[in-house]
Amino acid sequence: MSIVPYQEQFEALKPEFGALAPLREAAFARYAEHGFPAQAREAWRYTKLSPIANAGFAPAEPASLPASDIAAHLIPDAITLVFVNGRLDDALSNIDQAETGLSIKRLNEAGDILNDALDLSSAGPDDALVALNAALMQDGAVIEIAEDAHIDAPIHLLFFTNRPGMSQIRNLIRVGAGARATVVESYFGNRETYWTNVVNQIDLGDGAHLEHARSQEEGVNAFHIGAMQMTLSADASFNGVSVMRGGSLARNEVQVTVSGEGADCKLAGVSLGRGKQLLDSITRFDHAVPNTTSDQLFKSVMDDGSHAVYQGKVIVRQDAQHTDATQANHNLLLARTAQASSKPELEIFADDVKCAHGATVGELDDSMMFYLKSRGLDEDAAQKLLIDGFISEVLERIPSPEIRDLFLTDIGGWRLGG
Amino acid sequence: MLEIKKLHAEIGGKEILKGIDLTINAGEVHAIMGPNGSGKSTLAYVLAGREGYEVTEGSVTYQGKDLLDMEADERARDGVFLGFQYPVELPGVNGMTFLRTAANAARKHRGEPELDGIDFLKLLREKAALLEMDDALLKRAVNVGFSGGEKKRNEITQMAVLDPTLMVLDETDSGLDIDALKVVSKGINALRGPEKATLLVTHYQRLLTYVEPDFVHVLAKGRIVASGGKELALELERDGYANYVPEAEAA
Amino acid sequence: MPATLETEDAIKDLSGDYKYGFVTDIETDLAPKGLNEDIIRLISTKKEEPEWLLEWRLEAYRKWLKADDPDWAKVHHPEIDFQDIHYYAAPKKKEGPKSLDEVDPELLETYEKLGIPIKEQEVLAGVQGAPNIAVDAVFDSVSVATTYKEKLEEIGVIFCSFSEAVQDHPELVKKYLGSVVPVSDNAYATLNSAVFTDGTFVYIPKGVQCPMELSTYFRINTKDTGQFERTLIVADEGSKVSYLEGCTAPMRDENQLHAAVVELVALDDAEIKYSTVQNWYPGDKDGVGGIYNFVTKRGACRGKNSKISWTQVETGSAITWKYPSCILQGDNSVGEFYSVAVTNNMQQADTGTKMIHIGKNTSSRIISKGISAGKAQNTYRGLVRVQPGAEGARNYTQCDSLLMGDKCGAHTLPYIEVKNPSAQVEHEATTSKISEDQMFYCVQRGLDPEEAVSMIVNGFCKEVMQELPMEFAVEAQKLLGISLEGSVG
Repeated sequence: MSIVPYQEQFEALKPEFGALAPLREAAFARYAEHGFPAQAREAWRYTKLSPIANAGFAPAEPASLPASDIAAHLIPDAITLVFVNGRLDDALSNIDQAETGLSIKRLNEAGDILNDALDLSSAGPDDALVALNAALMQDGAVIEIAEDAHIDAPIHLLFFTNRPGMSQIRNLIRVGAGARATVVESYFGNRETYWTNVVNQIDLGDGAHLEHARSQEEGVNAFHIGAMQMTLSADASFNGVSVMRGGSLARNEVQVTVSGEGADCKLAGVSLGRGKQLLDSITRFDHAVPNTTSDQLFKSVMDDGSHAVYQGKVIVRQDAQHTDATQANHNLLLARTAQASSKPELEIFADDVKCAHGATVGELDDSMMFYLKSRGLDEDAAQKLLIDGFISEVLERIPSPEIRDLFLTDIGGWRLGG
Repeated sequence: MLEIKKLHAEIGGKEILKGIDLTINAGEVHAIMGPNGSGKSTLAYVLAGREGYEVTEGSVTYQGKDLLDMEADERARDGVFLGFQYPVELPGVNGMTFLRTAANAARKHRGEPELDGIDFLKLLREKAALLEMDDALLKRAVNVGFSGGEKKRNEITQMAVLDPTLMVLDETDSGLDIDALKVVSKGINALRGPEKATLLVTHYQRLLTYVEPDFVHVLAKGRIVASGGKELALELERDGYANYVPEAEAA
Repeated sequence: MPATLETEDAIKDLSGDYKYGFVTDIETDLAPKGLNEDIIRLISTKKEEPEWLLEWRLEAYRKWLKADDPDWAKVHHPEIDFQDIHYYAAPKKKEGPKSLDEVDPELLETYEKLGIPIKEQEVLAGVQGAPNIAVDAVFDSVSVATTYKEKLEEIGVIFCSFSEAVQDHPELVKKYLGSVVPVSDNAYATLNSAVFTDGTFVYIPKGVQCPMELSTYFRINTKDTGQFERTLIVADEGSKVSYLEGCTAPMRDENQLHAAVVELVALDDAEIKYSTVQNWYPGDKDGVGGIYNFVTKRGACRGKNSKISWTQVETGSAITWKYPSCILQGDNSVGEFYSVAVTNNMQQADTGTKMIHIGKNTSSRIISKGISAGKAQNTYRGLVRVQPGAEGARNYTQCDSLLMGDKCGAHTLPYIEVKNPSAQVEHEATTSKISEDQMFYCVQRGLDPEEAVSMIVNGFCKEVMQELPMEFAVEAQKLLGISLEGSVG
């Protein structure tokens, strides 16, 4: 086999593999078959991975993080897991907070579960980095919620990076039948050049409900590649909101298989770009059974020379009659050199369905700006107000006021140049 | 003209009509009244031949023919008109084209020559004048963006042009304000005649003030439980359906 | 018409090179199957083309050898054996049926439904000896066609076969050929550039409004343009033309692969309207046979205030693969794309448009209606790109899909790429089916179910159909109904 990127890193990590060695070997082989996805691949056409492939990042070195650095990012009364440079920091986490029906394990304590849950057999060339992640995964949370358990406290996963290198993170979230939970992910980093490659696998049992919020505020030189693979059983529901604003190159891909009747998946996202950022959102919603619904709302506000991408796909299989799927993508360009690329795609094989999508790209509405100015607001204030209005539709989908406020505070920072 | 005997019909395996007997002669106007869920609309649909309404027993004879043996479009061409409770929107389909196609389908069926655009327009103007309605609605796509009243008026205009023999009007009065109700009633009255018959399906008496029926029937739980003259409608208006359907709430 | 001396010399020079010996038999009707430089030389020689055009073809051929077959369209077909095709056949007619009695009754039934006169049916079905009679019957007399041609010549409009244009207007052909669709655009366009045999050339001089729809009156005469057709339309400053292509009657053709190229050029203030009705043989219900229609159509709005409008009704072909596009270079230029694509049985269509906004205040409008029935797959694929300099660009796109039955597919793949903040780009799409309510309503008014479907489908397509010139619109409406026959359960 010719040498593929990250072969060396894989070899170097081998002594630590332990019980997961066969799984990792298989995953690496799967990855090596395809290598890093090229831009010729449709799903990767806007994402240039060569800087990551060429950098050959070694695992980021462990480092400590003062508790004061994370204080502003904490959610009150949450169960918090803090990962620093890709490894759980026990001191900063409060993992043992007892909740009936909740089990949280670190990745290396959950070998059996992972061996059972990770299925890379269908991973194709587009999923090569998901396979690479399975080969190299360093840490992560395995969260299991028992049947009918209602976990009130949000489970907050914070990822901090302050050293160069890579973090290969793998989280597994299983919500049992009839159970309810809230999971929040936040990503932060300093100005080092690093790569976060995170894969979340989420399985929702019959009638399970998951609230999910994701805030990506990596450092300006970071690369962030996120993938979420989710399965919804009958009557399960998911409500997710994602904010993407960090990294020089950032991508978040969500693959949803709606495999149980009555399931409902709502996903909203907002990308805030500046500098030369590329912020890439990819979704793939696969409706495989009748009577399911999905709703996607993605927005972007792009400044300077940043580039927003939305590539969303809805597949409605032949059996999936009475699917109701909507897809909306709206982009606001604030600067001459900002860009937006949008591809809302429908692939429909059933006739009795309601599927619609819409996409727009434009700048702030002149007449609205004028209206606000005529009421005495200056340019900046008027712009801020309109942008707030534009993105609020996404953030309002977060039901928890605490989490929503936290996200809003962060976004406020973006507009001030933070 | 129309003879319904022991008619039983079901939707999706659930029996709705449980033995209807009704005879309507040429020149007569019959009203079928009844509480919600009594099977009024089902009866209208069964007569028009809607798919999914399965007749399990009984017969319907229309002008000596077995009506149930005919496809829905054959019935229409043979003079059975259903005025819809909720007229359907047909985006992009021009009202004029739609109606001319329908009129010519019936003419062809009767062995009459088809109307060209100009002759059709003449006929349309004539009918519209008779009903004191303008034909502006027909220039738009069928029912698209029409108000409730406009939809019902459009139904009557279509009926006038198609000149049916048996008119089945399903809750044509619902959703109409008093002015619209008068216009629509006037249209229905204008189309009455010794060769024609009308079956009005309605929940309330008020339409019957303007379109006087010869007979009124009360339909409850899939059966005709009472028949009488127009005074029966007034009684129902005053006392509700409670006398006929013990558990029905007073309307 | 006499070939130029240069061409004659070229032919003489070439004579010795032919390996297959058909030069000695220059009257041959059919070149041997297969493609190589000699075949291209043969085509060029037969057509008495100037040296530059031969070179252009050869360059295209060399590029084609290296080109990959496009693989992005959502269509599936067995690999095409390009060596199993005759690339040159003299335009001599094959023995047709002797009378309509010998013609496939199914075909005749369709003619009947379209209301095509019997004489015209004979021509369409290729009945022997029919053409003259039919031209007389349909167009009154051959002289009608001639009269129109004379009338056009009077006002300076050039409207002729591509071969004639090469001989009579080489400077125009040389200037514009390949200027909109580059030779190496895609493998099929490259192949066409190498081997195209004929097609149409139109030039509208400055300030001239072409007084008639071009090609309407010639649709029968020009139907044998072969499988590699080439069309070039140039509208000079301030001119205007409407061009109709195709025929509503089903076209039987033995050639499975059709790879045409159409190039439009609109200079300042010029307007080109290009309408197509495509009804090639779609194959039978099981997907056996049928045309592969791989067409590259593109228009360049080179001048300010220019406009190019594409309207297409695609009901035929086993596989349709075409994206009539507009390059909006001139400031304030306008591009439009109105499309109806119907697929039934085993048909596959992958069609859409590209609107490339380069000039300031350019605007584009895309209305696409896809109808799928049977086991067919219907894909809209479109690109709206706003370049950094396209200040004030506007696009509105609407893609609606109608599905009939649960074995077909409808796919919508819009690409939107915006690099200028002052642009406004809007895209909407819906997918629906004909509701039971709509069907019952129509049937209750006395329409038979197929008539009802035809009416509802035509309503669904109305925004596109009303863009068609009157001559086409009525036939195209009937065509939609016919194409969907057998699709109502």
